[in-house]
Amino acid sequence: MMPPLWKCPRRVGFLFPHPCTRTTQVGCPDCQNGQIDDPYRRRDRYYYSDYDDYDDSLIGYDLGAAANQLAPGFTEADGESLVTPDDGPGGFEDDLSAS
Amino acid sequence: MAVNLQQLETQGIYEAKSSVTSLLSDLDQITTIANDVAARKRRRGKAGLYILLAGVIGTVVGAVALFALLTAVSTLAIVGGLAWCLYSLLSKGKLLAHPKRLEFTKQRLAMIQPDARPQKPFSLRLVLASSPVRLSQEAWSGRKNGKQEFFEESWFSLEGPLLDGTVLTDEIKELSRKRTFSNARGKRKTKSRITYLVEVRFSYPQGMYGDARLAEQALKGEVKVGPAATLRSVRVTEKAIALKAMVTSDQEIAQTAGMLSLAGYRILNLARRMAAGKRGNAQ
Repeated sequence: MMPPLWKCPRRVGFLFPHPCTRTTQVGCPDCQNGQIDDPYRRRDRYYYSDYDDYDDSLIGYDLGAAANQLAPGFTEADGESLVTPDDGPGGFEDDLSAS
Repeated sequence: MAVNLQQLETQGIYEAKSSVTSLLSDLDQITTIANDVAARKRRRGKAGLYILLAGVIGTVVGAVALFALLTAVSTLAIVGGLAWCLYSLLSKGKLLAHPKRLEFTKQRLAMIQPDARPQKPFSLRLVLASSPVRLSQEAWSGRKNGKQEFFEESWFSLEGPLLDGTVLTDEIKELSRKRTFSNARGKRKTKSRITYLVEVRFSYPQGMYGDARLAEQALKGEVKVGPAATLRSVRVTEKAIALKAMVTSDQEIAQTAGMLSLAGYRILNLARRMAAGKRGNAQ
């Protein structure tokens, strides 16, 4: 029996990770009754066996050098003006360190 | 949501704007209707066969017994039964023309359901009947009296928001080439080839993902589409990622759409981590 206001700590999703919103793990097809710690990582994704893995060097990719290689004329200000507004958190993972 | 049965039966088109769960429920309803139509068709075919058999027996009995009226009625039954059988076999109806399209649509919706906003509407357009548009027609020098025509049919489009604020847009087009020519014996021959163009586009929120072009560069164009598909293009801008692939078998469309989506989000997931790192460094 889950305590009231229990929140599943697991990550779910097919394309990107987001928190599970279920209030119980009983009968959950993602974690299979709590058997799977990280359903997001364990999900079957055709030919991607390493979907959630990135080389450490990619995370610290040299942003400055890469930005210089982009189309001429692209500036930070251009990017700011093209922001697609996010209509609220809507359950999407806010804790980026969790992914 | 109620399915527009009139549009479905007369044009073979299903159009709706609703949550993914509701769309899936509608598609189940359409599957039930299509199964009923198929069962009716089978029953009609069987009835035609029985009439045909009765006609044959009646003709034989009429000929043996020299009963001219029975022979005449039986001959009519043979013609009628045969026509009824052929009609049942050949008339596919709008709903049954492309059952795989319906199956694909269900697979695709089920695929995106875990990441879709549960209550937000998705726009879906599914064409179950054939309605190709001829793009061009030209002489074909490969064979005697050769002529070739090119057709395009956009039969699936889907658009709606995902949980992260990204807007997903899918489109599937059937591209066909029809060649007609005269063979060595002078007979007219027709050969058709069909390919499917699968397009997946993600318009992502830049506040969350930054500029995905950086992530794409970092991944050095690593895009997997599976052995059955050919990648046509990957276009990444500061606002969207658009991927296209071709497949020759309709069995592979769902997997290809899935692989393209994963490829797009492989870029976006890295972009999100890079953007988070950039924000962390700035603070």
